[in-house]
Amino acid sequence: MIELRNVNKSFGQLSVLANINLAIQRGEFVSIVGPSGCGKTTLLKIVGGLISPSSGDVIIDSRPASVARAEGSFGFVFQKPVLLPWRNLRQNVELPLELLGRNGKSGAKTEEILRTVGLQGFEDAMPRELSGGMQQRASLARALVFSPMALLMDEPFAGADELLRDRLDLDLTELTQRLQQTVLFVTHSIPEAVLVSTSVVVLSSRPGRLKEVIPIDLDWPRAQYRGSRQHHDLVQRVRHILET
Amino acid sequence: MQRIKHLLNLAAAPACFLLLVLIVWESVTRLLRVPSYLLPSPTMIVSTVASDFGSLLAHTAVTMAEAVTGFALANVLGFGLATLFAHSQTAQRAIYPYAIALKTTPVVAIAPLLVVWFGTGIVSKIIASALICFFPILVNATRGLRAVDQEAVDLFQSLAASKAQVFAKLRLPNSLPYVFSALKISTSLSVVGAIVGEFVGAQRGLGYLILVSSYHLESNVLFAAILAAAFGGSLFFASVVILEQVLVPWAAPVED
Repeated sequence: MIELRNVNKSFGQLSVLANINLAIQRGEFVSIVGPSGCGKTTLLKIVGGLISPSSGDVIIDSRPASVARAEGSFGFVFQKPVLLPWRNLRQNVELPLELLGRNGKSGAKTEEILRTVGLQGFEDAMPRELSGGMQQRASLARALVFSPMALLMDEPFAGADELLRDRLDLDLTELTQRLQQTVLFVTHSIPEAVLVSTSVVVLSSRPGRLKEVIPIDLDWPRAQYRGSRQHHDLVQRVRHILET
Repeated sequence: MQRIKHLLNLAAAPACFLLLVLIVWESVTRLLRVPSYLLPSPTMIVSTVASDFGSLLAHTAVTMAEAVTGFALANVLGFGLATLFAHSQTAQRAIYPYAIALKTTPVVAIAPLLVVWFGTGIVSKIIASALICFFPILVNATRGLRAVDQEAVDLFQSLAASKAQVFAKLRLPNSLPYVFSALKISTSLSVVGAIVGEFVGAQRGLGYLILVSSYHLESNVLFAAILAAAFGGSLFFASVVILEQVLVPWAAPVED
């Protein structure tokens, strides 16, 4: 379980996040939406233990976030795939296992995860030989290969074109549902947030305050809801909360 | 086969141009009866190379040994200092101005001092060569070690990577294209440094040969020595290019 209690963050005089209280249960897919500069990425990095809050607590399964990070509890997926160009696909995916000292069981796990994200057969390909979508799948595989407690995703498909983004969104939801993976997902796109999430967290403009947590009670798989009335109504609701 | 054909196609134009220049050069020296001390003909230079090959090779070997050793010394020290700079802004602020001062001082001005300190042997030439090669590696390696994507650093930190892991698995490989750019620049500079060092005081080497042959107006020998220096420098450059292709294939431009 991820729990944020009265989290505040300032950079010098600039207050970025104010009084954030949030609890995310295991297996939930939570999206964070809000205006540009409202502290979405900062919130994600605070949860992942990459930066410390100015005040307040972040508790990950009864431990501080920094301890959870040191134990390899978080799989980050960034806006860019961040594949190391000197490593082939397999070596990139296995990087977390190397850094966390879990190389022993890498082979079978890598095969399995590459099959899961649809990249089997490309193990020896270098990053520049892969398409943008394949590179982003590779970064997802790298985040999943060490079975982290939570996936922390910072606008992972923002660089993809619309068709590819739709495809990646659905693949991601199918995968995370199957693995019962906890996900914290930052996005600028309200339709995307509604389509992939079990709940959407709406932040106000800077300093980001929690405006509302909207549960998304749609069945899985979500492809059936694209363009539907229910999806449209939920999108309008989130948009309305953001604008008021 | 296809690759050989491609290489031959690439070499054809420069080879034809060289042939044209040599024909014009040979014709001018013969028709205008240009004295050989002013401009020896290409055939005369080739004949000098053939007759003095052993001696020319020995002088070239000395100069190249000085150049390669100075190059290696500069690159080891330069990369070490760049690693320090990449981890400490304070160290960079303290030392960098002196590195720039060293760079802006011509090696030809320092070379006599090196001979006074280290004698006319190989050491003063190695140091002259190292001094001239030091700055490119320092600047490029510092840049390469620092020019790491912040998201890549975040990725490593999210996986609790140690500083040593970040250096070995991220910063070091990331710096290699920058390092090889410096190495390629330094190959020719190292030969310049060694020859300048030999000009000031030496008993062997291409710089010595160039100086002595110019005193005696043996321009054919002088041209042969210049050719040897160019050949040695080009061979050195080509070796570094091949090493780059082996070690950093991922940085090469993507072929269509």
